[in-house]
Amino acid sequence: MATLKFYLTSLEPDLDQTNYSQSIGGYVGNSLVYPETTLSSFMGLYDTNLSLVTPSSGSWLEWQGIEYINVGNELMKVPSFVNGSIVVSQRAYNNIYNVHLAGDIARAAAAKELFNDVFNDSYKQYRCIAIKNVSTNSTDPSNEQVVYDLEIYIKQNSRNTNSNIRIALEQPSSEYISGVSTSWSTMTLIDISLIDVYEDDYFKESFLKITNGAASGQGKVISSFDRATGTFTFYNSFSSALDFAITPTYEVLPSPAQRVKTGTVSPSVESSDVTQFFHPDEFTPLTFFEQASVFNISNLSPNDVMYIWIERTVEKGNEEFLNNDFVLNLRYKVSE
Amino acid sequence: MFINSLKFLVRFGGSAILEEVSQTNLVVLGDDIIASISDSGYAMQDDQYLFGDGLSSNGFNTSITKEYTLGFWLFPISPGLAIDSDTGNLLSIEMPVIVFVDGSSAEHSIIDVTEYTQTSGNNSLKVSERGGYSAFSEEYEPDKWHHFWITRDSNGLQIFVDAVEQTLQDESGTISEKVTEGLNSFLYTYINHSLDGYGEAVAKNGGVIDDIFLLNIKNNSQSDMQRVINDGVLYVIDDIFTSTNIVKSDVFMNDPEMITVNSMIDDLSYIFIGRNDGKIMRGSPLFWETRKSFSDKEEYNSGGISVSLKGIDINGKDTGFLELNKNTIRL
Repeated sequence: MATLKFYLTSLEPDLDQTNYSQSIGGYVGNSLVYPETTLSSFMGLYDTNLSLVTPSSGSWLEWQGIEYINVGNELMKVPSFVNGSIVVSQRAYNNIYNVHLAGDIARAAAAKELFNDVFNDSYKQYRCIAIKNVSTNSTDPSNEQVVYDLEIYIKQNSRNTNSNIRIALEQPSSEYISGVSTSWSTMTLIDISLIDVYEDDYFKESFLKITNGAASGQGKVISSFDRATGTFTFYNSFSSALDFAITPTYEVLPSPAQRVKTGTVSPSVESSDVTQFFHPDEFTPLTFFEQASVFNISNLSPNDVMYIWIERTVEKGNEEFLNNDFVLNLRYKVSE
Repeated sequence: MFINSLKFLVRFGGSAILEEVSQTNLVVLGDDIIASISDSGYAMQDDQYLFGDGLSSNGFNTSITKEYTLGFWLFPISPGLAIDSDTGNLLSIEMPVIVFVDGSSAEHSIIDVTEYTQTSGNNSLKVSERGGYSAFSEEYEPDKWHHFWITRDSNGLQIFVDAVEQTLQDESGTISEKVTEGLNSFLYTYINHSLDGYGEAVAKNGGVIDDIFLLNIKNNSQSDMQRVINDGVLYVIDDIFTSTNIVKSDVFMNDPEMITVNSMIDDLSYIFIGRNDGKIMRGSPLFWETRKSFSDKEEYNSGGISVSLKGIDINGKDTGFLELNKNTIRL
């Protein structure tokens, strides 16, 4: 089954994003919005014992000092965190009780906070996070790993009446591809199988990454793409073409979202790639399904992404912001 | 479109009490004919009960033979215990929840779900079938919502409370091969009513019931129970939702409970300190001012004083200064 994860966005590609207020569009960062792990056992509606699997990093370092854990739609208050065996201080901190099964995702919801207290004159601020299909076909090709008909909605808006959340979707203008290069230099890479497949500059601003040989992991931002020759040209050169394998394999990540100057500036919602800001609920979710696009972004294949712009508005004069969280839901099908 | 195995669904949303499979309304009977219904469900009360008899009063066409799954939310109450008038002993109080009865004569309970109060102050749920088999759930706490999921085939009955399988208590009789035992599968439904009468230690229920559904198949999938509890019954019985997966994430941004200083500047006149809650403090060691950048608590706009946030110069441009309109301030 497909796995979707939430990532912060960053100015440059392939970077860890440690500053939450800088998650304001651009490339998909390497950092999840929140550290996450899974439940190791069932947790009933009113149980207070929560057991978590040790994170893949092998350490609880990122979880130290957190006060809240999110599982499903529910936010739980937890005491000072030590390890994965927790007696929860308060279930349903956001007034939503859920049943949790072993294997459900648990997130350190308050390890850091996506929003800060810097607002514009209209008392708004903006952040951009990315949804990425991190499924890998190679691990279990028998599993259906494409996300179909992706829909996004706000399950629970802020419980603080002086705070409101709306979201907009931005689709990348180019999709994820991978391939084998037929010739290359430090500034260009050619794949003749792409000739006449994509328009000129279709991949402009996307990040191309080498996936084999000594150069594996190295990548460059594409400055142009030539349809007639299947040539990618980069803004900056690779250090040495000698590091490339005999038959270099590569991947081009989905194009970045627009990036705003600061978190107080609204993204442009005037193009066909970006929806307006809405408060979509369960029965009127946001989707690109009905909209014409270069490719069918409502179906996310492995490595494809969708960007979510989040607008937070506070009422002037609000002295403090408690009960201030919201729940995003992504709903999708596993077959067409 | 509902799944084929769904045979009964009442969600208590609007003013009419609609059974959504047959598209017929349940009727309110008893002394008080105004039902208390909200988005939370139907509040069972006093002598009032609900009755449904399906299309053309022939009963709901459940097509149940050997298997069924019955689910509902219940907010139980515990009125305590009754006293046996002969012995003086304490007795559990029986409180009907829902019963499906034979549609041809309405004389035989096919599936009977009843609550019992217990000496511990908790309640337990009893499921009885026409063949004479019955079993109790474990005890559960009243005054909080619980989800009940009852499923059976000819091998046995399972009761799940809040998606946790119960160890069946006080089992009696033998589970029958077929649920209806010689009767047809067109069934009437009563909510908060029992065919057995209301003798000693038998009372009407006082809880709230919601999202009742009946399938004619056995389903003991814990992930389906999770979907019903977390996302709603439609995610298990409606084709639009049954094939969907949901990824959920709570994004949290409360003001921090622990205030820390994350920057400080001394401009030789004042010391400015920035805090992680967005406040900036200015002052000397003896006096501090605080403000939050988006707060208007220090703005003044009342009485006869009119205040503009920004003054306008003769060219119509903002001066950037606060301006009092046609007023003076005496110091």
